[in-house]
Amino acid sequence: MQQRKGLTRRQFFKGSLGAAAVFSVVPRHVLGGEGNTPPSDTFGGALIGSGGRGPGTFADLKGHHNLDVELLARCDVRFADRADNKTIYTDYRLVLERKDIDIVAIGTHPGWHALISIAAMEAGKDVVCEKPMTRFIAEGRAVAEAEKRYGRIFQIGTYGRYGANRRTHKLMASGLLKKCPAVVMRRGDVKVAEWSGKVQYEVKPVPRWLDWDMYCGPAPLRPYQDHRFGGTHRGYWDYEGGGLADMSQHHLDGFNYEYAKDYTSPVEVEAYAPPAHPEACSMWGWVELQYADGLTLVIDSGEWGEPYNRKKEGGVSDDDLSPQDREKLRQMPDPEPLLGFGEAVKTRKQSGGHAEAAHRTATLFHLANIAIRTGRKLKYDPVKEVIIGDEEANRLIYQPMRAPWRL
Amino acid sequence: MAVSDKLKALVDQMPDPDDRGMPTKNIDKDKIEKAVAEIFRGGRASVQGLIEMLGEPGSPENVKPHYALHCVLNRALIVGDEGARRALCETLAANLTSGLSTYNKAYLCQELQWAGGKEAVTALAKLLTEEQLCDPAGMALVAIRDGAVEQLVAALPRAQGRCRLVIIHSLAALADPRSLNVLAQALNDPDREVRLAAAAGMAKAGDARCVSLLLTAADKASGWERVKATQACLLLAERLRAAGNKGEASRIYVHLRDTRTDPAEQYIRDAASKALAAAGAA
Repeated sequence: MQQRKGLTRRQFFKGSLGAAAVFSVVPRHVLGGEGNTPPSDTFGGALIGSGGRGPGTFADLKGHHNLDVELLARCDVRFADRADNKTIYTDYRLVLERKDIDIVAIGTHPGWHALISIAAMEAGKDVVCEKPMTRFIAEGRAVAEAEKRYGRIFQIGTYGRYGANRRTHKLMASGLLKKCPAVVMRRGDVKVAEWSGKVQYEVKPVPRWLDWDMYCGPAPLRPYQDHRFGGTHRGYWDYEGGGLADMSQHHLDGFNYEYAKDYTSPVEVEAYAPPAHPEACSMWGWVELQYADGLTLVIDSGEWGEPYNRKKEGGVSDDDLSPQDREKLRQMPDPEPLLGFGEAVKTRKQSGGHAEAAHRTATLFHLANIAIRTGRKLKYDPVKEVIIGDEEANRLIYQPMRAPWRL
Repeated sequence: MAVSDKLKALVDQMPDPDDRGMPTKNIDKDKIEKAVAEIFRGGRASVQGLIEMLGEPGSPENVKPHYALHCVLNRALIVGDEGARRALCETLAANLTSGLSTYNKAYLCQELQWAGGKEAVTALAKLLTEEQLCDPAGMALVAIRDGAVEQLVAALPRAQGRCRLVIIHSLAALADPRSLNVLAQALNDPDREVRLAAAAGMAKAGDARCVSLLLTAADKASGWERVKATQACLLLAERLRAAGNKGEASRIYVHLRDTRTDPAEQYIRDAASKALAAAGAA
């Protein structure tokens, strides 16, 4: 089908099909030809999780990703007393059934991110999902599989990799450096105390405007206390993983790309922290993660205990190669530019913040949190994505979900 | 059993919440670990005492024993003392049918999800027919795995409503071949969520006998159920292909490619065609 400049899909639909125009926006699959390229750039959009970053995430579709998206549906557990299931919803499944929605922006708490991302792609939608991508490692693997299975576009809502050092990426991706001497330090700004959970609180009645069961979703249905709801959900393992999970998708996105670790993960993880609480995220000092090639990543909270002092910070450069390998590197092509979400949606090519990359970044802070929570040094198999020789720690890699939610 | 003064004193070593109700200030790792190690040395009696000290959710009296109980259980894992882990988890399991509050029974289930083993499955299974506790019990059984399938299948005839869903959901998560007949029957359940759980479990099990059943279920479904039932077919195809059964995997892909003719399901046709090509059977 030919592109019709200056004509939205809605206008086109009304003009060509007249009385059949019952959709507010014509879905991409109806008017799209090969590869579902739309005849105009107007997409039907939905926002699932409309508090906090949600509206900003949706607005970024236009402002940041240059997509012409019409908001057709808003879904939030806070709409329990006003959902009409036409434009306002509390159940995202009803949103995803709609055939006129092409793109879904997800701004719920992270305990829902994976399940809604997967469901949206299963329903044929493209997804931009707020960070952090997941609550545990197996969720990330399932999102990446769904992205691949359905040929959908997924973009995580953080963009550190787009400004990362491409020269280091080229060196690390070249395979020429057999042992990586770098020790990368990430100090502070992980909001440990700020995003801790309450252990002493008042149980309250669930507000009538809130679907608390849906809010808890795959996590245990807890007695309602208002600190678990809203931005402070970050302090509970049920929904996120403290400031470490909340901030590290930002902080480590660039690192993961720069050091070419989008398709692998560390093999050893050790944390310095007091015994963790079973439900509330709380204080920790630092976590050391080491890759098979020797690269070390350290996340030092700066908020508890003695600072990290095991290894000295340092990077990598072409000087770590032999003269012959430096020449080989020089002759290799530079890395392809990373596509933004908008361009990826239009060209049906993988977005720069695609699911596998986002998953591998998320794996870093999930492994760090598992080391903090278990109090044990972990050995990780980055291919099978399991912790070696620690059955109970693996229970945090793949966590059972409350019915009817499942990966 | 009365809680000893010594245990109370050790529990009191746990950190006090700050003025926001959070454990973020004056966290002394050594002090906590020494107290936890001492409680751990007390074995079953200490854990029973901790359980008796538990209070209502969020209450000041619950804060320290709740935390200490988790730390003591985790201590068994940290030091790798399997005998102690089993003994402590047996103590937790024995309390699942006691007069504890629903909240604290759910907490014990959560702790068994963390550290429990086969020693706890019989006690957990008794909660599968209790509407308020079937969810945490089911989640613990899924985490433990060992011995869970038999208990879940045995509990199913006595379960209704939410409890029935939780059992099918848990069996689906475990995807054990021994539960395939149960899941196949549940594929025709009046409850949509039960049907979808059954489909998910059958797909995950990767058994070729499920191909026709899942394709039929997906073909007759609509809306959300069609999305999820179709996903189950694609997952089953992937499992079959990975196991070397390209023929049955291709049968699924061909069926989906040829039957999803609605423009809204173009992406399913595309996915099936792509997978078929990758399977080398296009």
